[in-house]
Amino acid sequence: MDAIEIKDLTKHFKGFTLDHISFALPRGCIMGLVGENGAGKSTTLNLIMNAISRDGGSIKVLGVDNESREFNAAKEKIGIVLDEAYFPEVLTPKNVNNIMKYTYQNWQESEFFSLIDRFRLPQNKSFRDFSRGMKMKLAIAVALAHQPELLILDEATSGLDPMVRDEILDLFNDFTRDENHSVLLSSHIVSDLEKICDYIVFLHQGKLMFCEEKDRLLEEYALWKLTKEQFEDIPKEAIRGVKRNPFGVEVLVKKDAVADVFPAEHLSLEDLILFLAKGA
Amino acid sequence: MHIVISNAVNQPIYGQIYRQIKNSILSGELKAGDMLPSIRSLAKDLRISVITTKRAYDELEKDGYIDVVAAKGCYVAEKNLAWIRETHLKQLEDHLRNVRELAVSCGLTETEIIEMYRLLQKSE
Amino acid sequence: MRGLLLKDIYTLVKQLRLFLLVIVIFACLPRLYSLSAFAIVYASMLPITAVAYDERSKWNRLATMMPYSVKSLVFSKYLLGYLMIGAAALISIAAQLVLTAVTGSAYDIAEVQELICVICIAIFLLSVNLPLMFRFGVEKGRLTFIILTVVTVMLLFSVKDTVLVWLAGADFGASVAFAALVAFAALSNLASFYLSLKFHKGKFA
Repeated sequence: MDAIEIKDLTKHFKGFTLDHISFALPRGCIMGLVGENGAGKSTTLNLIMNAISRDGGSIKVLGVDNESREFNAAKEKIGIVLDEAYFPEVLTPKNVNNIMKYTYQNWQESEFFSLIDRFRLPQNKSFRDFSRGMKMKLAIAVALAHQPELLILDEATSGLDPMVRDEILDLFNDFTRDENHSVLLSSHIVSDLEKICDYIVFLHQGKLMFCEEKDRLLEEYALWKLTKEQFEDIPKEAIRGVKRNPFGVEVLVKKDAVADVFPAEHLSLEDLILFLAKGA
Repeated sequence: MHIVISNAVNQPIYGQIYRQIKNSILSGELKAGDMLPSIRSLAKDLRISVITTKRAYDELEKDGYIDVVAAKGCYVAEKNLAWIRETHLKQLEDHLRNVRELAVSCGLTETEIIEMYRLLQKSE
Repeated sequence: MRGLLLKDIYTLVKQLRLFLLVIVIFACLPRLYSLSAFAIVYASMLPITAVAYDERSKWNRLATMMPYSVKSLVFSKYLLGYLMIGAAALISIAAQLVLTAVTGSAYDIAEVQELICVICIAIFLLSVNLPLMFRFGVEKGRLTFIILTVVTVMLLFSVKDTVLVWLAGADFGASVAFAALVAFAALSNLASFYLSLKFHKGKFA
């Protein structure tokens, strides 16, 4: 069963439309939601959690329609981390523990405090004085301390120093050692996701550009650096993106549409997405 | 068993896993019946995609190197080493046949071909 | 629900120490300054402050993704209001009892009548304010709130004596009048809750 199943999801705002998005996150997998700021990532996550209501389509989370009554029970099994901690800043981790004890039925106090210790966070300090990394760690401790099956994270790794980001990504990696555990995380920084994701969903201006297995994606495309003359000879239907400079052309091609004649450059996920976004 | 995943080489990640496990089996480092790490734990330890790892294991199973026993684990396949060697010899023969054809079309003698092979050995 | 209340109480206690102290002091002052009435009215504003803190920390976006229903998110603010008004009233009564015991004077039953009047007014204020906060947000809601407070306090002062005189002189007895007042406060509260629920829904993004 899929952890998240989205079909034809549509939402209209003034000046923005999330346009018939469909994708599924299989259980046991990590999915990265990428796209520029304003592409519709947060809107999609808000819709998944039914924090805003959709205009069309369907969403199932952990097998439950998210507009049904049963969804409140399903929320017990979902850990949420947003781009900030979103608790009133005067609270201390100890306060947060007391509040969450009455919020999640499965709240594990010992698990929470062991995470707080592991993250080296002070228990009795208002988190107003925490660094961004510490705030995010607090939010992650909250998300993990009630035995979730699904983690949903909105820009949780943005703006963190590389050490902390790695520590957090490792945590998600370990979380999915249980094949029943799934993660959906969004970021506008593709390289954050490149390491750990199984699937990549790419949103661009409210539209779904692709939902693909990450490693297959990199196999499907090739990046070539060519002269203008060489570029002219490439069949147009194979070209997915082009970057020109005064001396030559960088071109992204779909491998199955063209013969493998030029040496492929190393292609990162970030390059791939930049090319595809420009080509769109 | 050692598995090193490199992003610098242009070989797909599943191929890297496939090749390295295959080599460990052929070199005798992994013996028939040895248990391989589960797909999920290997993926998580290497910090790579579960699906990619599964693909490598699927290929290894398809080619007869390993047995995947549902709910139990993955094992190095029994008594297939002779068969694998046989296949490799057959592949070698095919390649050599190609070499001979190409040599003829280029007008190369047998000694010249052997000399080329020696040079190749030295440079590696 | 307990978690939501706990969060608001932690926040209020940490952010508004001075304000809470003022409420307690006002509640303790002798009745003749009418300050204990202010204490109760102030107490009814605390849920609005709590809404403001929620807004500032964007708590609602997170809260709607947690296993809270919209109903409990809304109701927790009303409950906080009742608790705060009740606490201010209890402090006030306790202080008056101590005061009368010290001075040796008798506890005037009219003071209880006045207290109930004030509580009803405070609950009414809460009823008017919360839907406004949920509908317009704290920024615009606060403006409406200030206007409303000024109007209500003016009303309170102009009407207080007349009502008390009328209640004291009324033939049908004070109990009926009180029942009417309490019923009015309760009904306004009920209507307010449903309005809040309507305004609050889908306003989290």
